Amino acid sequence: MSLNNTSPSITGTTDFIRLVLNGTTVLLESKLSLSRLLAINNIDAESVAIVVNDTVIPRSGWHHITCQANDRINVFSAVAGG
Amino acid sequence: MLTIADHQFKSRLFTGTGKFSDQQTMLSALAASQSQLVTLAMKRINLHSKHDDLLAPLQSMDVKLLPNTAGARNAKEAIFAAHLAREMLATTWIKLEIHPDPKYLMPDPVETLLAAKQLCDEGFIVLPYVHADPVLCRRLAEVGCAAVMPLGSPIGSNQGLASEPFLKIIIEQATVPVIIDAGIGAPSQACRAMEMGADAVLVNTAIASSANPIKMAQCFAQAVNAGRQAYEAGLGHVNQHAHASSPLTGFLGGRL
Repeated sequence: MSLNNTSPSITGTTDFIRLVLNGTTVLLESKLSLSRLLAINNIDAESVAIVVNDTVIPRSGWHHITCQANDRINVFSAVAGG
Repeated sequence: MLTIADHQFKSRLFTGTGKFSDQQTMLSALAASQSQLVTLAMKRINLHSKHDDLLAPLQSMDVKLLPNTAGARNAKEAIFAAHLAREMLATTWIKLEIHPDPKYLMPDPVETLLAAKQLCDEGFIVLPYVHADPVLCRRLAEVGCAAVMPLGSPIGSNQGLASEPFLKIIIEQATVPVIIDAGIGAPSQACRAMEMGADAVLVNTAIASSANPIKMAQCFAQAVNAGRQAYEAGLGHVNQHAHASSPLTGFLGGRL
């Protein structure tokens, strides 16, 4: 992950990056925010939590933190349980 | 009225959301139970399958959600799960459960105390699921847990209050609410727990696995209410010998 405009992407000008989303390797456009990542996967942002490289990302950062090549991103939701 | 941390509950029956045959049955059973504290778990989304949205219908009910840390095998994983839950549900309430043993799901007391201490220090409202260990429950209260949740018997076993003698000690010594969690398999057992002075019970499997979960939820609500009222009224003493309830002398005057 990276904050927009604060840290250079290791992919430089590459248009697409490869990362692992919920255990599956995916190819995504670069500079994709976490919010956008949820949207293109039809995931309701209201009911999930996002973990990037084993760190829980505060909801306040989802708009400006971008996916980076080789990130391990996991999206969790609530499920039934006792 | 039961108070945990700063929250008041009219119902002393807490419920889980697992094991129901379908979501509508689960929601109807929760409504029938009148429960105001409802547990749920968390899981990594399967991006390739469509699943029911659990959260929206629960949030539309008048219930407080209690995420659990099920699946955590140690303190580190449980703390991670608590942070996950806080972001997902915007709540600092967490049911802390750490059970590395998949056969009996016995809670790990050492890891639970470690995680409870840190989460309490971070400002979480921690409700730890533990074995019916009076010493551990005291220690958990001392580190700031808002309640303790000792088990009656193994999770989902419906074996009832196998730990009853130790639950009594925990209740006697308690400085925080005691919620009997796990193993309660029948309304009579929930009633018994409440008669003993438990502050609440948490029931999931017994309702969800009933042939009629909605009716069973109503039965548990009645049992918990009856048990609590009996506790407040005060049970009579248990005696070793008979004590007549009716006069045994003077009747018939020895005419026969």
